[in-house]
Amino acid sequence: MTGVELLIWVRGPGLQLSLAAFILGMTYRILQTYFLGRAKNLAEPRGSPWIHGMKTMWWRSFFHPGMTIRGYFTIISGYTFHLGFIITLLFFDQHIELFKSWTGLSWPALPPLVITVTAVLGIAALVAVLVDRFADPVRYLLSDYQDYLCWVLTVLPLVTGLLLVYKIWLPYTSLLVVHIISFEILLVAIPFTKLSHVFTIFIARWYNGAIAGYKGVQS
Amino acid sequence: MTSSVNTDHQPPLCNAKPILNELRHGLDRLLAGGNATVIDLQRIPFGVDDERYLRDALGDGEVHATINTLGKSTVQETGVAGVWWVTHYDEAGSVLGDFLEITTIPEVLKSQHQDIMRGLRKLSASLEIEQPTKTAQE
Amino acid sequence: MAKPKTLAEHLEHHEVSRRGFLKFCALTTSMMALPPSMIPTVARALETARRPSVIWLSFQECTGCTESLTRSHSPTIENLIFNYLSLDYHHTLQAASGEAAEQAREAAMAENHGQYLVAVDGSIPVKDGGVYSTIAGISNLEMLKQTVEGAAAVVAIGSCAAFGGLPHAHPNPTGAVPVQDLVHDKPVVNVSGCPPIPVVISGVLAHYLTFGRIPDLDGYGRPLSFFGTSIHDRCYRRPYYNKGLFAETFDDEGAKNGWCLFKLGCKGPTTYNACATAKWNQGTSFPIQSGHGCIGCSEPHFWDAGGFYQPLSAGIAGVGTLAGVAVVAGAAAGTAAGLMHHAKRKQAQRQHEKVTVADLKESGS
Repeated sequence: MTGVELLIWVRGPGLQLSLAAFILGMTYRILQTYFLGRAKNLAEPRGSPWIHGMKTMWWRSFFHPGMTIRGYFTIISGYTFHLGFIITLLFFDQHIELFKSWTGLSWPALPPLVITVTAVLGIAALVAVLVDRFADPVRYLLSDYQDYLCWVLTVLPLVTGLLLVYKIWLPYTSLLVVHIISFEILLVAIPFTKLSHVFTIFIARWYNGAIAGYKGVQS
Repeated sequence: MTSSVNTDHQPPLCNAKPILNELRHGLDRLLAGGNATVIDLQRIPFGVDDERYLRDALGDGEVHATINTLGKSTVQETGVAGVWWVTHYDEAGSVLGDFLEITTIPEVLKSQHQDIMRGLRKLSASLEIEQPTKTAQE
Repeated sequence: MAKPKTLAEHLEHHEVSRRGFLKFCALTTSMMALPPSMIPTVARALETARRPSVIWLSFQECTGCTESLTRSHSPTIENLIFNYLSLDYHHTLQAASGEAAEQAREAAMAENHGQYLVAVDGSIPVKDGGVYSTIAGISNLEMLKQTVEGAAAVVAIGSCAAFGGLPHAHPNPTGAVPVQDLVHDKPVVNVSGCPPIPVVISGVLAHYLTFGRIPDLDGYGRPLSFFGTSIHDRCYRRPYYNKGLFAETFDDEGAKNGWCLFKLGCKGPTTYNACATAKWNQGTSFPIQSGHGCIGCSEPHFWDAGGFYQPLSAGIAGVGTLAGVAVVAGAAAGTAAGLMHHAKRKQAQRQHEKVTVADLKESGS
């Protein structure tokens, strides 16, 4: 297969299959979680679980003072990586074209220079957390192969994207193929690894908030 | 650069400025006794305003020459002495080639050895024709 | 007068001065996309260059490639090249037809065995023994094999000959293949493009005429001097791409300002050709300069590489149906898994039923 043939495959069947795998996997995981169900709470509700659940889902995304009890490193690197990754993914004009081709929706893009900064920050934060994972004995012992796999799958689209935009190392066509493939692998992997937290974190947060709401306390 | 050059063009310039720099280096080389430099403008990507910018920046010089062989060619020295703009046309007047030459005189302007020999042959031939006529008159 | 043997003699025969020869050399060097410092080398080579015979075969094609060449904007120089090359067979251009034409081809092959150049435009159908395209009762496949056998090199002109082109596009009903799939024992130069840039065609022929060999090629067999850089890398609109300024439609403010056409489907980044410098229509412009994105016509499979107006970063195929199927399948699997869990839990609960007095009595008796 030549570079051009590969590009046609990754932009065609490759993208279709990986997106289908992602949607199938995510629907499966969410419904499976939902059907686990919980034992009926016989106590009288003292507040609205729904409203409280939604609120918690939203507010937990933001920084609050209690989070720094174990120091600043995890908080700062965590926010830097997640924001860098999400902004790069959602606000680079070429990515918006992809989402537009899928959903028909589009939104304003950030200038390429800003995206370069977010991508570089994202990569730097990922490197920092990896170093920390090795340096911290407890974290190191707790880590298994999936943690490293997820790290590689996440960093690859960022790195190959940067190489592509600045045409470093390989010709554009090859880099485009590699970049799209790295994204497709990530898509397939998300539902079946720890990366499924991209969705399940919101379920977990909602649930935490809902329990507190039912009891009529702050979550 | 002369003040007549307008530097705030709307469309971005593509290669006009690199070419001007190339010319500067070429003139340096020429003054140091080095080789002539030729730049093929048709192999360099130009934006909408590059050519105009280049012509404005170089200006018009003292020498304009026209050559008539295989269509027309114009050879003109730009306002920067030593930089020549050579344009080759076909018989229908379309541009075939566009070159900037950094030299004291473009090679194509000089009379060529083979052409001089041909000219000499022609001249000799015409003199040889003249002579028998003269002898006949005597 | 005897047929002139070298190009210098040929030009002298046509009463072209040495100065004319210098002009010719400068333009030929430019045409071959070689640096002007090569002009003296080209001049020396052209002085002694010998007249090559060219046999031009047209297979599954639309004659666009020949049109591109014969209507090119520099007739003088190209005429000189073509007057100098001996174009012994080209069934669209030659006066002879039928038997006489085929005889001309066979005569040229016999006379210049091992030395002639074969130019091919169009793809070759190989399905069902190649019956889908024939000339004078000979299948294209057969004619190519016959003609290439004694050739020095083959120049595949246009994307059909180079990569299969339109006839090769899905579902390829005639089993069309490019020249390089059939010719393995001779050098093949691919001059792709739909049509190829005329100056690139004549440049490759001029290169063969001048140096007696084919130019350096890229991974797809295309001359590097013309196909070495992508359209994107030579595009004068590149600064807009770098700044993220794009035309969103063909008549918005961005389009009027000449911004980058990436979002309108420009394939410049993945396309290699000389359009940005050689330009089209007597040097007027090239597609991007005229406000339309590059369609990538000089790349393999460009007809199957998605819509001309789909951005490179977007997918080629629709995902709607597949996404729907995925949701349904995922929901079914998720529900099934949920129900299984449910059943398991019920069973577990049953197995953990509290022991009653009655149970104890039963076991005690």
